[in-house]
Amino acid sequence: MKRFAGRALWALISILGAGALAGVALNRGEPVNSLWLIVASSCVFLVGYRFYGRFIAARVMMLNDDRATPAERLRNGHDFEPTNKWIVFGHHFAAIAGPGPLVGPTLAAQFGYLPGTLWIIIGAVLGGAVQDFIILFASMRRDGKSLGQMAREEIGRVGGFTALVTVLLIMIILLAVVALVVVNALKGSPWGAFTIAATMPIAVFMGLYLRYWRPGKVLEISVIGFALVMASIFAGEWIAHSPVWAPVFNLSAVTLAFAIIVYGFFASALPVWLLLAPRDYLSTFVKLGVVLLLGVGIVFVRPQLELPAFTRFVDGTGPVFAGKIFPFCFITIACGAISGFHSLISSGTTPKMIAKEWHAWPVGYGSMLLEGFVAVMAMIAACVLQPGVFFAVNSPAGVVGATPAAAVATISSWGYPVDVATMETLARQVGEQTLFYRTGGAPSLALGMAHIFASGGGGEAILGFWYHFAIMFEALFILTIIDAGTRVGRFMLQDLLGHVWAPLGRTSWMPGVIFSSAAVVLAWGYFLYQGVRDPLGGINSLWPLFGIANQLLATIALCVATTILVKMHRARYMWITCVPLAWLITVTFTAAYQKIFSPLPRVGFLAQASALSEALRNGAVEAGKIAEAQAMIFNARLDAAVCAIFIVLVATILVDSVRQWVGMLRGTREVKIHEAPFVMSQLRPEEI
Amino acid sequence: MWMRRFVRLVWAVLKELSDEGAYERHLAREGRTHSPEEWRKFSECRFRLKYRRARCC
Repeated sequence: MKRFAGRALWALISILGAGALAGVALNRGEPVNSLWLIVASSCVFLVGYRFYGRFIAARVMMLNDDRATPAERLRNGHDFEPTNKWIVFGHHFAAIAGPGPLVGPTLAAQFGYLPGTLWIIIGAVLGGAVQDFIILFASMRRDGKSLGQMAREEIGRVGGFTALVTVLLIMIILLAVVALVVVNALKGSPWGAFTIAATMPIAVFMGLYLRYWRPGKVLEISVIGFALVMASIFAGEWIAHSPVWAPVFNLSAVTLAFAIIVYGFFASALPVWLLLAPRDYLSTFVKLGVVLLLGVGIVFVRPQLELPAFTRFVDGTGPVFAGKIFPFCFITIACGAISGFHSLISSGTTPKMIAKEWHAWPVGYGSMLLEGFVAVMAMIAACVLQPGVFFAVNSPAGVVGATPAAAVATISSWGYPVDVATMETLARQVGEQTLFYRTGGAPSLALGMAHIFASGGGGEAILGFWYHFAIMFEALFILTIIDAGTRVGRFMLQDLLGHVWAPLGRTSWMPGVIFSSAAVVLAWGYFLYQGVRDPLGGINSLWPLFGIANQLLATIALCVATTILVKMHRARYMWITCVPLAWLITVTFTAAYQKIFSPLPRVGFLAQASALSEALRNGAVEAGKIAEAQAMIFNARLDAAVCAIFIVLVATILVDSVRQWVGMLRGTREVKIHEAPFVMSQLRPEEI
Repeated sequence: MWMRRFVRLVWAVLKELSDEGAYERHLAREGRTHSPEEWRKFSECRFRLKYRRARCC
């Protein structure tokens, strides 16, 4: 009877999911309620988790709770520690959830709500969760080894070195693009700039409190820190209206970019306990709280989606970023569907905390599905805006026109009516001077979130508070990523430089620390500056570059995962990783080819450089802008070169992997599994 | 009962995210009691490991 009830329940969830998905996919012309997206994604994720995830766990990985995990065998109380599965789940989810699943879907909403949502749902179940789960499993069976170590062991030395260089390059692009998101959200916004500036002394205060006044009381100081940040949001409104202070915090994009570059350098060189760690605690709690609040808000308010299922920009002429729906929708949304970065987390702290092998199923597969759900919520938040407002906020001046009147005329001519008065009213309600040209995704996401939260109570009167709360939430954890990412980039660079000259590899040698920190900061700072000066908003160039890089890292992870599956089962289960791998190769290589060689200047870097060169030759560039145009030509060529380097690096790993698979399947290459030997688990249930 | 277990779990997750859980385990394992110096030693070791790893986007 119980078995029948279980089957009936799963049948019901499947039918409900299929119905909601069909409703979302086939509806045209009428506004769709966001609840359809929530029901469709929840049901598909539940079915995917229960059946596909379990199939991989039982049949492919053959998880075995009798086998002692590295957390048990190598227990040291520091990183190796058997931990309750839901605690590991929370830890892992907090580590994988960054700005990517929020910003990516917001940008991809320029194609309409449907393509991005379908990619998130299908990509997460068949790609992202599979990658995260298999890499977590592989690392767990190999004493918690990192992706780079596994690539070296399973594929070869070339693969390992290539993975390290690829990750370093991706880090640089990632840091530049997330810094650009913050710059675009805070430029010309005294309220936002003050609130974010205030988080720095608040974090330092938290660091001192933890170090000297109340050591160990992290939760206590996090509550105090949160209260102070909320107070700074209220104070920000006063600052924005103060004739004395408003000009101080009314910063241009270039000033903000330099401020973030200088901040990044000091934050990565300062002691961790003073700024990075306390801010990390705060941003983790705020991030989880806001995700929960957004989920509750959407279910409670059930807003209508104002953007259509498809917009006219599926043809590649979109103002937010250029490029057709294929392949650009699939590289714009990475973290919500499949993200290579997750493989670094799945082969980092998490495998060292798993107490029983079966816990990897909810932790590896389940966390990714939850991240997909966050991405669906971000898509909803972006799509509750009127299309005209969405495009007015996200379009750069270089595409829609340099004045508000020109911008609304261009956007309205596309069939998405908007007027200057509406935009001014909205800007006034959220305490901003203007909402035009706020590219990067963060402001439109904040507007959507504020709309949902304010509809839950308070209305327009508190729209400004919620908008700046959302901006603070996004900027807070982006700045934490910048601090931590610069530091990690520094360690990676020192690892590489240590082979050239040993002292440069020593993390305690101050000149080496300063040199490598400065090198990493200058690298991402250069791309940030390039993005800030770009008349097309920067996001048009940098976000696709970041998306390509991130998906290429996923390609590396899936190569490692496929190699391991071939070693375990020959060709039998190769399709599990080869299907997402083939899709990613098609998408990323097509996107990279188009970004380098497309004849359209808005899409192809080389075409952009050629068009600018020709304009210079023809004297079509004003005298005062010649140097700027020359810099843009150099930047476009640099972006093309970076893109090409990514492709060459990943193609190297791919070819190396295919050689391995063919050799093993033909029997000409030795099949050597590098798993740790089986040890019977002695862990008692009460210990976890 | 169910609610109490849920609250306990949420509390445990918060303690783990804040490193307080790891600190309690450290004290228990080393047989020491809490002191400012002990926290500083623990957190320095913890942060050294934590902030060497890549962060997700």
